[in-house]
Amino acid sequence: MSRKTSSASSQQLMRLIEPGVTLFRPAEIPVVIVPVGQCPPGLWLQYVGLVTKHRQIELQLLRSFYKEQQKSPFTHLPWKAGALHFRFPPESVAVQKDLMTPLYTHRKVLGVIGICHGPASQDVKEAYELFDRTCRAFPDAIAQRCFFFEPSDAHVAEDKTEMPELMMFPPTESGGTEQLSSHAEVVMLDFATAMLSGLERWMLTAGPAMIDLNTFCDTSDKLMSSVSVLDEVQKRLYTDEEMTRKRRYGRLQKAMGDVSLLAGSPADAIEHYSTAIDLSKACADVVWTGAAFGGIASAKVLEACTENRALRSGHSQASSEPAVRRPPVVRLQAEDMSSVESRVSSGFGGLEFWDALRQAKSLESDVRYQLTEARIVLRRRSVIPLMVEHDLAWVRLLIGLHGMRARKEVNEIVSGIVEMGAALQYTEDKLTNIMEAAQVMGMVGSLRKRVLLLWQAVEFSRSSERPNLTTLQIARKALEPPDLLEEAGEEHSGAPLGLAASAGPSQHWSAVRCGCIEGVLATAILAGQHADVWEAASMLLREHWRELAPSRQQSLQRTLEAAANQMPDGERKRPGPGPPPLLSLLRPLAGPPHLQPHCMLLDVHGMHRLLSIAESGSAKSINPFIYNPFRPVKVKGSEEPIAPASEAGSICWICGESASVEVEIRNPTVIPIKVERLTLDVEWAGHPSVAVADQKLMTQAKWKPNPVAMWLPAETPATKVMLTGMPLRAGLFTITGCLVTAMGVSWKQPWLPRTAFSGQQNGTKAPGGHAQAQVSVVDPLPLIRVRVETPPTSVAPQIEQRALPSSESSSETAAAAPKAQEANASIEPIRASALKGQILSWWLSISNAGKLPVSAAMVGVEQQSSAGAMPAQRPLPAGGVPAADMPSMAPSVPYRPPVAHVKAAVDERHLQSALPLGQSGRVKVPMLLYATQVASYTGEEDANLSISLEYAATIDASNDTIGRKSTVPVHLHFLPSLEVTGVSFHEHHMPAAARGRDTSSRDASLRRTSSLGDIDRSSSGGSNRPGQSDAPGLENSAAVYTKSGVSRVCVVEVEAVNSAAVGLQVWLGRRVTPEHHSADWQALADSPRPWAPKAADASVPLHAHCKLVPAGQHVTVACIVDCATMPHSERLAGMVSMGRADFVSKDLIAEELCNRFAIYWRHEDLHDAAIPVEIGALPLPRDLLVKALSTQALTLLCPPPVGGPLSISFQALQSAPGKDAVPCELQEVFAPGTVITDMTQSRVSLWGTQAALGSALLITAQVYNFGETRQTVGWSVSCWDSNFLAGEANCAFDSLAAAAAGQFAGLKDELEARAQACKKFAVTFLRPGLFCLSAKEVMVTAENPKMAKAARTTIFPLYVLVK
Amino acid sequence: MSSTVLTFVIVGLDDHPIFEADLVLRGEAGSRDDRTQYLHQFVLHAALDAVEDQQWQSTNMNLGVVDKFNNLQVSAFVTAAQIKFLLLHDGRSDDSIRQFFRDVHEVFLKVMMNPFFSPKAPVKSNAFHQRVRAISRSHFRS
Repeated sequence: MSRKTSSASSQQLMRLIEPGVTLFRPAEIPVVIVPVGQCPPGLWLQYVGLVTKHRQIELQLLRSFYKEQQKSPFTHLPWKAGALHFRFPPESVAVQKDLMTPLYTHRKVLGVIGICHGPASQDVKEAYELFDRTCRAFPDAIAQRCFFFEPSDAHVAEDKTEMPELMMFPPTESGGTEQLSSHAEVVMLDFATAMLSGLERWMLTAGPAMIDLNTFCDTSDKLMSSVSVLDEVQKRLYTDEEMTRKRRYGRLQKAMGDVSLLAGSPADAIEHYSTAIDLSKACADVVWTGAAFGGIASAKVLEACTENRALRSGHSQASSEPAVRRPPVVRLQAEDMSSVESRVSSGFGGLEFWDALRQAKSLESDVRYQLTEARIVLRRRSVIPLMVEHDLAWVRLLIGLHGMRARKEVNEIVSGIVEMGAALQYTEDKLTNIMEAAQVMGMVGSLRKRVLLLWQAVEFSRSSERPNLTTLQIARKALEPPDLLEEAGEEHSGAPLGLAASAGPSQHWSAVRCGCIEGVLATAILAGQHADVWEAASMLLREHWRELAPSRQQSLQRTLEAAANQMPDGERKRPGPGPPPLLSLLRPLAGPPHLQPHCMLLDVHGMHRLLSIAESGSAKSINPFIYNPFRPVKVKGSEEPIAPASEAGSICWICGESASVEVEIRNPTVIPIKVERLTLDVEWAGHPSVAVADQKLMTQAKWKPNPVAMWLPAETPATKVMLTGMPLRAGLFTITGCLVTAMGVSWKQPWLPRTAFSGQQNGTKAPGGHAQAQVSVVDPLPLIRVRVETPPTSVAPQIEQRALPSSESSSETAAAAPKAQEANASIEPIRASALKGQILSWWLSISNAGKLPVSAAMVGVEQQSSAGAMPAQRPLPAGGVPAADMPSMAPSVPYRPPVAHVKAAVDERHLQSALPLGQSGRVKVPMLLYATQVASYTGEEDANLSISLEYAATIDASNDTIGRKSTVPVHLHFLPSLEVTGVSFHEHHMPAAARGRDTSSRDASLRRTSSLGDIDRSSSGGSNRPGQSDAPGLENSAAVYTKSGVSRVCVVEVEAVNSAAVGLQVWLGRRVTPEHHSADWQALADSPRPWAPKAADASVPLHAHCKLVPAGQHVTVACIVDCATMPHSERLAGMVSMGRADFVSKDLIAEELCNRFAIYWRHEDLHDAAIPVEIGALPLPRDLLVKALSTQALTLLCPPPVGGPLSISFQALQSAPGKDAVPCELQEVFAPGTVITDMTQSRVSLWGTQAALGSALLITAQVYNFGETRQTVGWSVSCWDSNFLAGEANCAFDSLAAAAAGQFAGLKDELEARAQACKKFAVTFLRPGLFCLSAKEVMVTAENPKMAKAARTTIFPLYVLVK
Repeated sequence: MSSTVLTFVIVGLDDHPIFEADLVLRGEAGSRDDRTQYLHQFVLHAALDAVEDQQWQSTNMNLGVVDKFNNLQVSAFVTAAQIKFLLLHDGRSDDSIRQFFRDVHEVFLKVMMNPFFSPKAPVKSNAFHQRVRAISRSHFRS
């Protein structure tokens, strides 16, 4: 801070009333802090802070410094509870000579503290001389000190013997600011001791000779009126000499009272004041009498403070930083610090202080009495300034004690003060009077009255031709809220502040506020304060454009332009709000979905669970209720409600990438505005990982704005504008407003609430319009470009394919960061056609388009509902009536194909092996997409799905990993392929040798079927249970067949139509889930299709081959079902054998078959080698399966489990000559393809015996009881003709096709445990063909009813070919 | 410019004026200078502090003269709905002011009965304006 020249010239201050006067003021020792030499402003404030911190010093702390060389004149000095109080008036005020110093000692400057910044001074001596010269301006000073900061070694080495007042502080480098602080404390204690000693010295040396009787207070007519008659009478009672003597002594006593009060000894002060009153009254020294009464009032208050321990220690009230304590004030210009400093320099105040003072008994009445007495005395000679001061001091005490409750009394007193003010002689006093009245009114919450008084003060100041700059300062005050804490000198108690605090300037009438601003504007123009002119004109246009006439608006615009032109360059950057355009924040926008950050959560199994950050917010609010009445209702078709932007973290931006904010801009004035530059103003609110202290030190740019320029015509309504920028650092950002540059001036325009913005009076709720919005910014994220590559296809026409190079279709979802503005435009989906069931082998081409490597990625597929991105409305299906022809049906429902459920298999292994993906790295991940349609519906189907890739640069196991999610929407259109028209089940016999042979031969025999998916092979589930399926079962349950080397299996035969436009290779096989790295799938996908051999293999069913089916042709395909491997076979078998082949069991079996078998198609374009082979798989329709599941089929599919208790089997006997009949060997009676009848052809292989037409065939029926209990079996024999193969059950015995000899009906056997019974009979077949002997009407009766219920009988029929 | 002062203001619930009339000026014929207009507004505005103090200390709707500023006086009337009538004058008789307030209150009640009336929105009824002027003429004949 530069040395002010004003210190040298001690001009006289034409003012009698001291601003901010209180009853505590007489107890405060004025100490002026002066700069010695140059000092940087920042350091100056720091040094001053070190001193002003010690505004109040307890007397007991002075004990160690104080040396009582003689008896103290202060006999009642309260050493334990008392304190010295310092006041630090600004130097500019202190140098002005106060006219009232003869009357009041506390208006003299009693102490001088010089502050010298070592590095700015050449040597100490020179600085000390400068300090000495400065001190001469304050002749009344008792104590002086020169504080020398930051001394160098040279400074320290200098001889300082002739500099007794020099106090050298240690350099900051050695001990830091803490050391400085503790040093200052000691130094100030020393200073206070010097002050106390000085006051004592004065007391001891004071005498009547020191008293001047011709002071300003005696001679001036400005202070009081002429001598009244009463005084004249009193004068005559004494001689002149006596009068003079009494007056001298009276004044001396008054001065001693003042000094006692300053020394912190109110009891001594009261004694001196009382003597002074007696003496002054006797000699009609009115002013001194009144002042002494006022002094007693002050002493009483100070005494109450001391007694009630109301004084705080100097350390506790160290918060001397004015900026911290000041409430946010809308200032036009930065107020000069002097006025602020003068206000904050009181040590009395605070909640605790006033609470303690309220405890004092009869304080208020005592003080009231003293001041009333003073008023009576002063009124005699109309000493208005003193009366005003006493009133103001009394009012402030009242406010401190009672707060707002004293409002009425304060109002009355202030009215009196204002009325009295008219009689004041000095203009400055008149103005101070109004200003003080206004301030006091503000303290009791009468803000409107305050504004009126301030306005009056401005008018008065202007009319009395005071300097315009001073008037401007007063005018500014009217626009500011009352500085309660400071203006009150911290006298405001804990009284309710609600009204005062809430009734800010905005609560005033618009016209009143407009008047205040106009006042500022006019004064600022006169004062040539262009910055103030700018601010005031801006405020008028911004806030009061409604009230301003167009002509006034235009003149204000001209004023603005003129002010902008004349403003110095340094002031062209304005801090606060400026003129229109008005701005309102709608919302910060998140980037496009694929660029938004996503939260990747790592769960316990190491699997990534991904949640979008926006979703994670809602996911946290776990609610036990499904319906939440407070959830915002989403109305279909309406625009989504704008999310409240103030929610911190709801929007997330990425460091280094473009971010946009939706803003509304409006020009309500009649003047067109040219905005030269408009940018977002964003503040970095820190980052959790960075310490607060470090955050303050970070100076590098955190935001890169993207400026725009615009032209706003007159009366532009609220218009949406998108502003962009780029965050350069992670953390929390607050969007506080915009930086606007127009007319060469730039300013920060904060957001306006939308109610004020749109001019709505009633405050209708409008979305947006937030004061601020917080956005979290995450660290830079990698950027991946995802493309879906689809191979060319020949089976389905490419519909609505996007134009792409070559035959490859792709969709890029990764937009470069600058393109983020197109964020919300939905990405056009990939449209592809496929045949139903087609397994699409696509690739995900992933390339790293960012700068960071990708170390974690995961692909997911989500199926969307049909309501989403569907293709445009399709024409009505054939036969439909066009809507135009039927007006009544005009709003026809658009036809939408059904939705197919699509599954996907991504080669995660391949993807993970490619990670981390470096910069511009690429990987192509194979992917299989397939829809699980059932091969019965012939119509077309659609599916909408999105293939998403979530990725991140790093995975942090401890925290949530932030990554991104790219999504490729896919629209699949499925065309009909195969339609299954019928399903049938057949019994098929296989030579047991073929099944039971060694593995190699078995494999050889089943090679063809195995590739078709024979269930014999170990299934993908690995559920081939050897103990149940193969060997033991066959041996036990099919003993007869086993002996003959024949096993029974079931063949499922499916009839289908090729509905596709191309020929397909079709086969039936085991259902394989398409998966990469699955052997089954590889086998299915890679191996060439086996064609039907010309020579049929007897062991293979007729249709168990791949067939080429032209378009529109029927085909029958078959495969063998081995039920032993069916997981629920035992349970189902139980149900079947118990005769409960009801719908449930059929449905279960059908479902199982659906899961197990699929009909496959394959297409190979022989003309175009570039087109890969396409494969499709369709599950079998369950309804057809259920329909085809006859009892016989169920028995075959679900044979009784191994170890069934009963079995009935038939055997043909052949009689050899001379021997007993022996069982015939079974032989294949039918091979696949054998013509049975004219209409029937055997599709399967059957084994049995042959018989000659008309000859009797001996048959033995054997019943085995494998169980452990005795059972009774009742049964009959039936004989079916060959029609049963076609599903018709005609009993040969009934149709006379066969005749039997022997008992074959009503048979009954009682079987012990593990016993068998035989029945023999002969059958003569009367016509050729295939017959089947079987048991029917089997009734089992067991001893144990439970066992009987559970008994299951296995029946092995016998096939007989009659020739 | 008229030398007499008679400004009537109705202050709504949010302490902002909803009706203002300078009852001395006759239509568009005359106008006051900016300073006087502002002074009247400031004094009326400041009187609200006094009204706030006094309105709960009396059961009477008419509060009489609540505030003075130089030669200007402000009389106040607070309706049951806490809507304040303020009259700025230069020393009219209390009786005529009381009568004026009573009559204006009667007319204002009719305005309030309008279902679209809001105690915070300005009263824009021309008829009301004319009635207030008529009442003023009848009570403050100078």
